[in-house]
Amino acid sequence: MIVCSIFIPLALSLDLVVGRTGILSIAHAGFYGLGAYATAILTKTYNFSFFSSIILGVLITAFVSYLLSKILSRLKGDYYTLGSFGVIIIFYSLFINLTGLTGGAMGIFSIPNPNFFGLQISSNSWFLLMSSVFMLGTLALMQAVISSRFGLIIQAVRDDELAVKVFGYDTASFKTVVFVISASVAAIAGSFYAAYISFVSPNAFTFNESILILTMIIIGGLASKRGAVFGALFVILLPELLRFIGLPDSIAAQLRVAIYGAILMYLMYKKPTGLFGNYSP
Amino acid sequence: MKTINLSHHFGGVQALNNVSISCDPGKITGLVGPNGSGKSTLVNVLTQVLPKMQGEIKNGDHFARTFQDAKLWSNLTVRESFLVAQRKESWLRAIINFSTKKSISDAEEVIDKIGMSEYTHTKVRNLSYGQRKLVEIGRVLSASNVETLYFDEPFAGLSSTAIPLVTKLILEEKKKQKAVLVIEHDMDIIRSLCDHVYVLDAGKVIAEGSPEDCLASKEVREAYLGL
Amino acid sequence: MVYFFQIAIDTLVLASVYTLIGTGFALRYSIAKYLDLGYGAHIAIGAYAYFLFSEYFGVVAILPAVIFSVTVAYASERFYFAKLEDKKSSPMVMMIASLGFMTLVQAIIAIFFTSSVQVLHTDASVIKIYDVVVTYIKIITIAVAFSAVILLNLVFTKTKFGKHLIAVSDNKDLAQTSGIPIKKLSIISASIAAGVAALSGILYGMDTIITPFIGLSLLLSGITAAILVNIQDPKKVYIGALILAVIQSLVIWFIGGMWKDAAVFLLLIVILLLRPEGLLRRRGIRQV
Repeated sequence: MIVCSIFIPLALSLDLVVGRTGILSIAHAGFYGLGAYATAILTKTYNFSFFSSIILGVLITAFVSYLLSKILSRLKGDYYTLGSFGVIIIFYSLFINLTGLTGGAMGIFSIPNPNFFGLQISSNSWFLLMSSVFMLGTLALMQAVISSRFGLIIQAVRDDELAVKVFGYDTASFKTVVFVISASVAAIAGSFYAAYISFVSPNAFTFNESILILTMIIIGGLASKRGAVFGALFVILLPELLRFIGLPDSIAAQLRVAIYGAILMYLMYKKPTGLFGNYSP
Repeated sequence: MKTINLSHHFGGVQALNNVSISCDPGKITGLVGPNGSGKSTLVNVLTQVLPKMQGEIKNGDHFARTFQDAKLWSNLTVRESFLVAQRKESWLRAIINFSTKKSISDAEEVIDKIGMSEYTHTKVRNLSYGQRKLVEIGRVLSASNVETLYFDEPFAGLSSTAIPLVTKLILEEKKKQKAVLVIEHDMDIIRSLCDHVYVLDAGKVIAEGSPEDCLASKEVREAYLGL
Repeated sequence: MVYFFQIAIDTLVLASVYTLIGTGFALRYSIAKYLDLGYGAHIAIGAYAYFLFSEYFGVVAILPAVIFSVTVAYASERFYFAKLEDKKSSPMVMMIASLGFMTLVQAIIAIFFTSSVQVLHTDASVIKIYDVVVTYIKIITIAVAFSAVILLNLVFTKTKFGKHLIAVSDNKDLAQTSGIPIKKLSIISASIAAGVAALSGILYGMDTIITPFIGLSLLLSGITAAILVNIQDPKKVYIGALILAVIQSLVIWFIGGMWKDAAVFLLLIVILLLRPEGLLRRRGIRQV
């Protein structure tokens, strides 16, 4: 349940970039990781409170994503996606190699439970409450952005950027803002992840995770809040189903990935809009 | 709007060669020429789709245009398309603003003008070719604070009922004292619509003047028949 | 001094692998015009097919392994990807479909062969050149890459097939109206590219180790090599691969092996920023 409330915002924020603005970025898990590591390092080593670690994590991620967006935006089409692959590999390298800061491959463990005005959140139900607030907050944010003029314009950019430019909009700044908002939400999700699991390691933030989140929104359907939510739930709950059938864990893990791959192939052939999508890539 | 010695080249091809034209407010200027003569290139440079390489453009900032191959926003509805075309705000304004009642009614006014009221909420990707061309034009009509309008082959592929409608719409813009430039192939339309015509061939202006003068000129006839 | 030569040889081997991958990918991309991530799958298929077959046939298993990989590529292209293209799917759809294919293949391989590293059966004999110990495999890899470049170059310039490829890559619609059978060309080039991919996977695996996931990282390196230069010319991809391998070796030597991936992709991003068309510009300006 808590995992859902972490992944739903991840899916929603990626959909903002991929489904609404038409930018295929594989770097998403990198920002997720940035937020997670920020919280891990700040709360464990420097005794920050959970919430201030979230705020600082968002600030750092917003700054980094701003720079990255400026750099990546100079790349066109396929090259952009390639560049975003490069970005996430660089993130992974940083996570695993800056051992002094990040604990390297071993990661950081024993991340303290969040502290809410002196009340230690050690029970799952309190945590679920906090993360649900986050999830609902993200839904509200997405709704606000999509229904504003901003939402209209970025979808126009997705459909034909040149036409939007010709009608006087600075499309580059719109795309940057979308990217930063999306990255920041992912960072907050990372912070929750770190506090919940009490452990972060670089292997949770590779391009496989990015592709996992991408799979969620493609199955659920692009440019749709419902699609993002459904896709996230589907991808998270499928392994539970497989475990039910009684397969050994290692095979189940790969089988679930195989199923995602097969579903992607099937969807692209039969229904690129996915289940609830409003936009076909 | 006017240009002075505008030039543009790419890949070793001189697409525009010292082109000087002027588009006056309250007049409809025609731009004609055989295929590949640089008409679209000229409009692309004037609308900042292509970079200007040499020469000057005066008063060329507030414009709106149609595209020959309708570049529409397929997943937006007709009304949404016009709402986007209406303004050109910054991202900050766009995030805190929602569409006002006035902007919505303005958009619907344009939809009425092009006669597509029943399609107000239809996504553009579900429209027919002729309807899309009308939406292209509607976008230009929706744009606010523009002085120069560019119509790139607005009549191509239109049904016979749509042609008088588009003619009327363009004439209305002329009455509003906008400077209008129309690229067209159909000489009858040029004759009836345009006050002033430029003929382009291989990137150069080979003739200009009233439609009759241009069509009578020897160079123009050679350019069209010679190719 | 000996150490230097050792590194030089290893760098050359790495460059050879990248060249193979890069040229195969460039071949695929020039026709397909979308980022075919499935190409990475063929690298892994080739490597693991060899792993399986070499149990029975030894080193000779290279041939059936490559044939197997080509067959898979042919089937997937003919029965799936070509159909997607028929539906006029956008490049993004094609790329996502290829992503699904690659994910599926990698997962299947991981299910049957586990995710742990494997070593490929190889002829471990070495030769000594002036105190430098070099395995035969390294030499063969370098030779294969070199000959592949020459071979592909010949194909592109001398054969009808090659000329058709270049025509399609320059202007698909024009080529189609001139009567070039695009679909057939697409399937054949995909198969050839897969064969090259499989070969590179096998050679790489013989030199080091393999996991089900080598496809993607090798693919990205190969693409980097191809993008570093004009993506079409095999000779230039070789140069790009050399540059890439040299830089990687330098990073390993001076900064530390763990940063080599990041360095490569940082380089990729820098190159893409500076010269979106590649480092070596296309010569000559078209005269109309």
